[in-house]
Amino acid sequence: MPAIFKSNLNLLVTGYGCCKQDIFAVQGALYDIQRFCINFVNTPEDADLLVVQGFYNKEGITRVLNIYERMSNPRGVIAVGTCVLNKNLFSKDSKLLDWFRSVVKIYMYVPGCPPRPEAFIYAVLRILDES
Amino acid sequence: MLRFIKNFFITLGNLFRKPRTVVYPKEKIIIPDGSRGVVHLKLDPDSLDIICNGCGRCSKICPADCIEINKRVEENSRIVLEEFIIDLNKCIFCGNCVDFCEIKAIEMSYRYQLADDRKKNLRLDKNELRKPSGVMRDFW
Amino acid sequence: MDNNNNKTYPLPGVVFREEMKSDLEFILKDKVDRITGTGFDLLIELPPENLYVVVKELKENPRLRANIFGGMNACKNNKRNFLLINLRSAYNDLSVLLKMEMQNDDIETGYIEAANILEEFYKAAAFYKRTSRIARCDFNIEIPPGILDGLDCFDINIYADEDKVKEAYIDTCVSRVLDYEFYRDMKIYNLIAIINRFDWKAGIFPELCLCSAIEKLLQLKPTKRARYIRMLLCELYRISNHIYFILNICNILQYDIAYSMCHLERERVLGLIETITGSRVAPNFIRIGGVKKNIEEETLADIRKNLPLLFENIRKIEKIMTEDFLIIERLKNIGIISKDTALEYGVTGPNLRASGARNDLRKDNDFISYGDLSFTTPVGREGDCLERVIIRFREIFQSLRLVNQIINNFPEGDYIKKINLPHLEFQPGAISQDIECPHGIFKIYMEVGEKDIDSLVIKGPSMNSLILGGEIIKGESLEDIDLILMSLDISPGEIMNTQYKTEY
Repeated sequence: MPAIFKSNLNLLVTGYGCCKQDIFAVQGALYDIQRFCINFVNTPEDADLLVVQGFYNKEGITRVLNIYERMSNPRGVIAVGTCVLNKNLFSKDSKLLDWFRSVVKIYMYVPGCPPRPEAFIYAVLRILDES
Repeated sequence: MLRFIKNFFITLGNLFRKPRTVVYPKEKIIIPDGSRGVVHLKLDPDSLDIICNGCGRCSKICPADCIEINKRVEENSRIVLEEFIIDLNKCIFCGNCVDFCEIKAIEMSYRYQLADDRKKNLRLDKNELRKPSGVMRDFW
Repeated sequence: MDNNNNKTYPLPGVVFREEMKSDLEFILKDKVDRITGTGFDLLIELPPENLYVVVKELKENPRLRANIFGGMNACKNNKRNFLLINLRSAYNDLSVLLKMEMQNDDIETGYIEAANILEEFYKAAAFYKRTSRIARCDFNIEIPPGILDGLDCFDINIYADEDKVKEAYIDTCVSRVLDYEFYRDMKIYNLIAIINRFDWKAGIFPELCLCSAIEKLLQLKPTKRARYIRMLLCELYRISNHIYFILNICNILQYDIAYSMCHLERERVLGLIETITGSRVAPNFIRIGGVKKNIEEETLADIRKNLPLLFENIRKIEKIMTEDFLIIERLKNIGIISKDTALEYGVTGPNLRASGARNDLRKDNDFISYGDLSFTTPVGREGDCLERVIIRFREIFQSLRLVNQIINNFPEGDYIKKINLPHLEFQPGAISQDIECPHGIFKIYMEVGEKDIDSLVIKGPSMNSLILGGEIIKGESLEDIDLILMSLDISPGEIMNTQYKTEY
């Protein structure tokens, strides 16, 4: 991970699922992720890291790949939650996600269903620490 | 005008308030009792051995099929646990395995800082799971 | 099991339902196969050819007048395929489920045919219809799924004239992720462990719905302490869900003071929930015949200590929001839902109450044991976005009042009835169960075999809210779309079981 990320890191959260509420909980005053200059943005062009979480079908995977292509280099992906790490909780086949994991470069895996907000902060800080 | 003075005093009151933010990496947020983290293998207090006898009940009832158990039968027909692997990629932290364990050999720890950059590092084996639950691999 | 001690829930409308059943049998004599009573609803089994006649009779007969379209679900598994259509009446206590058995591969065409027939009678059924892509070409704006929780599960295709929305079409193509048979080969304790993801803003309610349905089937009534623990959790989750709703509204309005205050209060409530259940989002706490573990005295003391703080802080948030004229002007007079529209589209819960209809299962049906406690059901008048925000505040205060009453009269006793869970045996049959969740009425219909659940249909209230949302954004300006859809409190987990729409 390039050292440029240390001064400012922009995250974009995609997908829909139960991890989303615990990811956005780190914006609150109790955790306050902005102490580390980490911001949540709404457009792929501004984002450095893509947070992939939640349930995906065929349509959803293609849309996430479109978003990933629109991001500028350097870029990376954090995979959050069991639904992305293994398979969709309510569906049996996992071919799509295996293919997705092979296409993009994933910097950090965050297990948990859903992970606690601290676990998410830990993952992002670990990316910052390794750079 | 009165409203502005009122608002000023509200701001002034908040200025000297204790901050609510927990400075996370330095001081840990206190997790409530009974919170469900990674499964921890209990140890026998006398011999420091694992209590689990490898009956395989937990791996049968697991809704995500994340527990793998290998056991070996010795010559004197004693069952020895060889491998106890929890795949955190699949685990959904539901706690059913703890409920259904008949000899109370496993419990839920408070361990939650689990992120890793390799997927295969998230497969925790017997030696990893028997560590005391408070100890974590911190890097800072 | 001796049935003298374990009676079923006393339902207030049982006598009336028997009368209604005989009426229906008389009216629909030779058009339907069978009429049975299943818990909350009457189940009518009919052949697919007779759907038009039966629906026409149900809609236009002055005795029945079923004017509310609840929803349409398909169920497909290795044993049977059927369509389930829910119709209700606002004038009397009628609530029916129409069940149509299909042939194995026929179900997709049958679904579309049924939607075409139902569209003549109910406007809301047009959502389930198949629309070709060419028909949607004249839309000039396409809004992809957003970032916020609740707006991230659908596309909106809009035809806009300058900044006014003329036509809108909601497509839930990204949220169709559910397998038909996700419950296959799954024991009941495992189903309870994953079913709470169907409503992740308030995870206790799907579990509670499933467990109460099975308890009703087994003729089992949980102990008083278990019922009180369940009510306590329900109210805590309701508070958490409503604070989350206000938080999202503040996020859209970029109102940062209330946003961070809401975050703090939500963390406080979630901390209390986590001490009881062990998880913030997925409780896995309700069991058949009771709950998973007991509540200690320390936890109750903790809740008692936190209640005044919660009340004070939420009152502060309410004061900040309702005294600021910018917020009031922004929220007022947009997204107005009249009472008739809300009833016609089958919306339930706070959204219906905000438009002036008094409808609360907790009071009407003596759900769990809410009859012991005293509370009021807040009802709004205007039905606009502001009213929907204010009604959530009022419900939070009522919930706090309920929590206070519950922890002051906490009964002693067992928290679970001992039953042999791995070897449960049912009498084969069908059952349907409604509960009042923070978004509306959550419904489960299931058929059980001797040991396992054969087929399971889950229908959340957010589907109806979403269909209505597509209707009321017509005529509003483009900048208000997010706000209006967010003010309907859509929980995306309930939308993921929509099946059979257009494929790209």
